[in-house]
Amino acid sequence: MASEQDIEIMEMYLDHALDPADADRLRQRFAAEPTLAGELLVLEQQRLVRQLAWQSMEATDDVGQRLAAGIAKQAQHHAWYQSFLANNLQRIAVSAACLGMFFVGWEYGHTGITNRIALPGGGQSARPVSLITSQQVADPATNTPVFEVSISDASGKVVRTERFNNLNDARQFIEQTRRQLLQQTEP
Amino acid sequence: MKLSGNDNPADSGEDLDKVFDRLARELGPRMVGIARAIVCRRCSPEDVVQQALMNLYQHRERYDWSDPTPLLRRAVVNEALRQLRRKPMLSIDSVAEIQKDNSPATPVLQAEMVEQVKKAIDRLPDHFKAALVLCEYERMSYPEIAQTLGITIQQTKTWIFRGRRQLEKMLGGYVECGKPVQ
Repeated sequence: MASEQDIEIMEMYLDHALDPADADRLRQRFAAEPTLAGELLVLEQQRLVRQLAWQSMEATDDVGQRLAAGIAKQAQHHAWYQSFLANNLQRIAVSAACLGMFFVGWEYGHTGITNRIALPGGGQSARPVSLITSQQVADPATNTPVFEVSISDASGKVVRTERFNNLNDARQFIEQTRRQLLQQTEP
Repeated sequence: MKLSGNDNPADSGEDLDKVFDRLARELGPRMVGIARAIVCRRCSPEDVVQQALMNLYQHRERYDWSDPTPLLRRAVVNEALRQLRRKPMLSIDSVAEIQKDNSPATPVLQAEMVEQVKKAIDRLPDHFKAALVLCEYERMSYPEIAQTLGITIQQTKTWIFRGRRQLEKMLGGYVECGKPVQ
């Protein structure tokens, strides 16, 4: 019975992994030790059996054709994708930008757009004496959107705030207030 | 398989498509053999090779295609080991392929012995199987195997030696001098 070390050396010999000097020494041992030569034969026979197992795992040629077809399909898909990207990159970028802006608008639109109407002061002054500001806000009590109209004086101080459930009511109020303020400022 | 000429076909998309076609047709069946030796019945070896080819195709500009065989071999081994880590399950197509191997033309005893060896190989650790199949089926040298598996030469020797010894232990009562025990 060969030692583990001898078996390892013989396996390396069969793998052609021994250097020539070691291989020669081993061949001399085979000539002198019939038991070792017998062990080598066993290892060779075991390899032959394993070789049959490895070979039986190999696929047939039609598998090669299937693989070639698969990779051709992948190549076609890849080429189409590259060409699509090259031809439509500008359009994709514009669409993405529009979509992005839409979502930004959607997000920030919830807080409403502020409209400001400045009423000029009498005569020489360029500064507004009053501001009517309207914006869409969420009602703190019901959390529903309402239209808030604020009237501020020349110093920016809010003097009156009204809330309306719909835009028409808010507009009517703004129009009335604007007329009243204009009447007050007219000489 | 070596390509003629010194130019790297990665420079030309059309040439490289031909390279892949040839790789798949000429080396595909053998690569399926390597994949099957590693994955055994746990996933489809054909899927492994297909995926390895696709991985190479997607990153084709990174590689030197003057000798694509080692590239493909390495890709197949890595993909097989990766799939084993991902999905240790039996595929229908691998069962069909294994059943197909036992054709009536094969002598019964030999077929039985081969089946036993395959079962024993199946029970080896995955990295032992990978090292063994590259050594005994692909007839690669230890340094080549080490490079393919990304390990040291000493580690390669150890894996191959231990793999063989484990197989011998598993098959001890069955294979004796290459003949089944009667």
